[in-house]
Amino acid sequence: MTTAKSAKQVVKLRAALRDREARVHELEERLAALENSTTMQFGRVFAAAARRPARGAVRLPRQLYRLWRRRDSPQTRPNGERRAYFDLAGLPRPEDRLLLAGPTDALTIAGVFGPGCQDTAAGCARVVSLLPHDAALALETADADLLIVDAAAGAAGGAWAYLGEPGVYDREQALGALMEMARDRGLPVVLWDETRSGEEPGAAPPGLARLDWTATGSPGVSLRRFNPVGVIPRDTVPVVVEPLGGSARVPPGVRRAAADIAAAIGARTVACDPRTLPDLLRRSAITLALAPSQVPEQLAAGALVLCPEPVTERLPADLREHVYTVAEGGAARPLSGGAEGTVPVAALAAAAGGHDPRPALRTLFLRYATPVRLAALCESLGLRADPLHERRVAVLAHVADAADARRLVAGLLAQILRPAEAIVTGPGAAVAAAELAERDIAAPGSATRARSAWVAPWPARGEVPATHLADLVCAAECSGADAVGGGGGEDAPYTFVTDIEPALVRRERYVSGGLPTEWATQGARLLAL
Amino acid sequence: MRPRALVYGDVDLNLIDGSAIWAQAMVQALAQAGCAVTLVLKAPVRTARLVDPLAGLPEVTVRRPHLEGLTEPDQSMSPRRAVRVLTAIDAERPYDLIVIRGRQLAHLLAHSPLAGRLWTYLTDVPQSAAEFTGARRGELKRIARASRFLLCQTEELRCFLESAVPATAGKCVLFPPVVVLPDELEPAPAPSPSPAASSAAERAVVRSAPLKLVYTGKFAPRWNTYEMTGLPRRLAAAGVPAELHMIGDKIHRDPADPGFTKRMRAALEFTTGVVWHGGHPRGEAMRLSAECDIALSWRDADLDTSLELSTKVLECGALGVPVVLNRTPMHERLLGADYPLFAATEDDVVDVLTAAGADPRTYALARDRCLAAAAGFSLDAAADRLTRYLRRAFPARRTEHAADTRRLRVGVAGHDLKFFSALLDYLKSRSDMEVRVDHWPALKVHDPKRSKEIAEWADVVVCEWCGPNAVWYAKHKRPGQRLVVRLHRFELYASWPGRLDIDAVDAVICVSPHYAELTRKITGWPESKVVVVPNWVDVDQLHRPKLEGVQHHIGFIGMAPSRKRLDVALDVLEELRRDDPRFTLFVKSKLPWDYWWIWQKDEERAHFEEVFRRVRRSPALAGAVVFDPFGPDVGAWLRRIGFVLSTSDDESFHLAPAEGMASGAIPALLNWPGADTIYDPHWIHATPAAMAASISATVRDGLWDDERRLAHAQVRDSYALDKVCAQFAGLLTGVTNVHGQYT
Repeated sequence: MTTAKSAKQVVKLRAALRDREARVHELEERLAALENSTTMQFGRVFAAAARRPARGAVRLPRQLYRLWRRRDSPQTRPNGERRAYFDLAGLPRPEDRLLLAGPTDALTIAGVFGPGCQDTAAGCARVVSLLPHDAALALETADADLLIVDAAAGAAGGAWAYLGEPGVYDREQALGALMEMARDRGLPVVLWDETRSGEEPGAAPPGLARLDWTATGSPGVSLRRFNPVGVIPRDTVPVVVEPLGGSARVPPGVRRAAADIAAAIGARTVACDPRTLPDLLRRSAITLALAPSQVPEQLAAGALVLCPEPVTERLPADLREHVYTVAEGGAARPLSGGAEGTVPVAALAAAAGGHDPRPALRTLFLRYATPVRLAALCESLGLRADPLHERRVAVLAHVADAADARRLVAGLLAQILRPAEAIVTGPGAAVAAAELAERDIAAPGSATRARSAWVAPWPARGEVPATHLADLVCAAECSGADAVGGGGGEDAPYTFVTDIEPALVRRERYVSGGLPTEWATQGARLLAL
Repeated sequence: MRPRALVYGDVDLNLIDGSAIWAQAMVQALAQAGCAVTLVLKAPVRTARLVDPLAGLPEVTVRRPHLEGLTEPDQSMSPRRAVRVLTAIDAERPYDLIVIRGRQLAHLLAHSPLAGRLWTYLTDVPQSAAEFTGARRGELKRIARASRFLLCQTEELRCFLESAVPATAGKCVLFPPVVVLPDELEPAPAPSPSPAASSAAERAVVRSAPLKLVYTGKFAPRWNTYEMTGLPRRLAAAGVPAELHMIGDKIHRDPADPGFTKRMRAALEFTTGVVWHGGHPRGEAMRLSAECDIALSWRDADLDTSLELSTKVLECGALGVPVVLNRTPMHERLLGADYPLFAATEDDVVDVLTAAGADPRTYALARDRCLAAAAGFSLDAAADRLTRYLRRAFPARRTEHAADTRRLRVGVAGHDLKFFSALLDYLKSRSDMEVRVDHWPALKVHDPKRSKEIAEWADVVVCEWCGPNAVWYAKHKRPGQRLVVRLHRFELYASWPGRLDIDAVDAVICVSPHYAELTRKITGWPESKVVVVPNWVDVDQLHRPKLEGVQHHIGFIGMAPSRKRLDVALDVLEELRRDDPRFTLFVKSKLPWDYWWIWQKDEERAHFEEVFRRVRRSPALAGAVVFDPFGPDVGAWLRRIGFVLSTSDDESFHLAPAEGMASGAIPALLNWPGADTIYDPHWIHATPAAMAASISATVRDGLWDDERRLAHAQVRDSYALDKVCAQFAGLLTGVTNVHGQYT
């Protein structure tokens, strides 16, 4: 419904309400008159007498005489004063939601989510999950920035089961009303389709695919959900996970290839609910992907990912680098970085043991992670929220002179995750600040004045790799750590410890001061790399 | 005596298209189901190809209004004219059922004397919630009220209508497309009953050297016909020689794509590998199709939400020609989710055709699936369906009473007949009974004049509820008149049974042995007067295919008052979700505050405040409880439910688990008093934890299908509508005694 139509509707409803109010008022008047009428009182007197005949026989004549005497006397209004004029200004209005306070910088998503999807969004936005019976009410008070509908919301085993399936009227109607309400509020309505991967079209059910969406996108992968950090020893029996919606929807060619590969490598096939999928993947050293959309989550969980050729062919190029394509006969070979050559089946377990998930995580962090996808969505929709806020880093550096400052600036600009702020001290600070300001890197002067989520002391010596900040923030995003740094033993990297040499620290923690050992005792989670 | 059926399809039988084939099939199926059929023609006969074979069938009469002077001799009848003609023909000698097709016609007939006898076949109805305007809903409501049955092409359409227009609930029945092959074509041989046992070589079907694809129908953008012409080239590139046979001559003019007509024609005429046959009669088109290997019904995704099924897909299936088509939930249910010829994009089409061209196993699987699917849409299947509906509409046809015997006069009195409606319909439909209703406006309010009329007129009076109505009729009963009272849980603890003159009552009906026993104890009425006739379940209406994944969906119908114990259902759900977060509780009910008489009680409020607080706050229940709106669309709703709970403190029967059983769900009950006198102890659990453990194990161990079949068989045997109706009617006619024994 358009705003103009809504306004007309409101006017009509108000008129109807006024009319109804007038009728109620009239009926109240008539009822009062009736209750005060002699006829009514006459009836009451007789009824009371009939209920208690003995007493009634005595009182009845007296009461009747009293009634007769007062028959022409004016009656007083029972409620005392005349009812106040009905004032519509006192009625609740939809606009009253503007008065509700709920301070937050975070993107606020109202969502119709399928199993697992809410967890994906929750890491980088405030999420209001809508149910079929409370959707309108919850959206009204949510102060949402946008409405997201998960293409998998209609999966069985969830509150919106069968949404989008033709013929399921009540769910379709509930969603229609919700979308109309969102549009009336000016909220973008977005279809989120997890099965979209690169150029591959999504698998949204027909009843959703045909609706009029402001935008359509993929939620990407939540590194926090699939966190590969701190995993117990992984099971080296390869796992094949049936995609959401059942095995039957895997193209026959892929199904045949996967079956051959699974037999060759001794893989087990698992049907898994999206809510328990992260646990399964984190426990698995080797996975076999049946669809391109499964690849990011399996890489994010740190597994060594195998793909049948038809799946690899449909992967975006930057993901192909991180999977092993299995040719006929079950031999695995890396598609890129061919120095490793062919990996025989027998050596898969060994290869998984030495598997380094970080390059894949870096790719996911930069291009496939949910905050990145949400940020792109916000930008395209013109929303003011910043889902990448949790990735903003303020670098702390000391520069001895101008040359040192220029080296710092070059190092920072080379980072694949550029810092948002730089707190530079020392004689070359002014030079650094001026050069960084030209590149939109703010120089707040002190950590207390910084606005970034993180503070990262810049290494004083040696060459700093371009991936330095990205890897630190990626590790923090995956693990949910409050501080990341060196200090763990060589034999147990990526573990939570009680003391570290901080390389990345939550700004609030840094500003509060103290030693890392004290942070740990105060409940902070310290991740040693 | 055969039921007399009047058929009018608002279709021109000179043009052999889908709607004409529908009319032909409907007449044949009705005749086969035992009706004397009269087909009224819409248009003057110009070609007798369809009409003459029908006119030659036994028990089929063809009425030609144009020759009979009932309408203009040379014009097709408009819907308005058709209403006049049909009314006139019916007035000559009224028909038992009037089968019609077309929404506009149905709407007009809803206000005619034919109302109440209409069997309306719905096609041009809204197919999405957004298309439902108030006017359209009102129109369908009126049509539903005037119709005995609404014939729906698919289960999806049926459920959609029942949810969107409550008046249609209980009236919608399935009447899918009927596949009737032309005389000169034989259906393909049925697939092997156990294909898995056959070797691939045995099951491989001999195909032509180039893969022969076929499309029949109109050429239109959303039908992807232009894209289809590129398939031979793309398949050749993939190493599969192919040719495409296009049959049809209607090229759509699309305002959104003005160049389409020219482009499509050029593609048909000049594309290598494309053979354009032009337009052909249906029989010839099917003969050409039968000579091809694979048919194409791949369409734009916009059409994936259709609630109708393509007859052409089924016809190709019957011919043994597998079809490439879009993957939709409806097609998945028809052909199996693993059907190998589903396609969404042009690339998919090429992929599946390449696979089918290269692999005989894939081709054979697709062909077998299409053949098996088409078998369910035969004329025999349609006649079977109609036979069931006729039996339901005219239950007592088998026991026609003699014309000179007076029909049994049955008076029904009560303020709320919702639990009696099916019985009332049944009694009304019996030709040996005449029924009048004394509808009390409220429990204690009636029109004494009307009640006296009924008391003086009826041979038997049925009082629904043992309330003031029963007290009144017991007082005013005539000598020799029978009085039967249906007592529910609600009245047993009220004062009316104490005021009822039991000597004037012939039978008091309770719905369960436990309540019969309680009634005897509380009232002291003689044992011989208190009889058990169970509640009934409309098994045929509720038994529908379940949607995928319902094993994790727990249903709960009716949450108020508090003795229904939604809180216990939450206990069960919490237990279940510890093992598997897919378990979700769907509650179909009015909300407790919608019943003022419940909500005004402090203890009820307190109970529900706590229940809803728990639903809102418990992490284990977050997003796991859904409150679905109350309504008569229980059949559609139960398609999504795998288990139905009954956790009440007390029930007289509790219909919900029985309805669940009828639908193909599994019941799960706590042991409320008398539960074991109604339900098999197999479904009764000692505690909520035991109930949860049983549900969990049933799903985990793959027993859900076996268990639900057992439950369905039990409810059909014990509480099916026809059985209970017969038992009740026997009580009224005196054929059975109060113990249900035949006399």
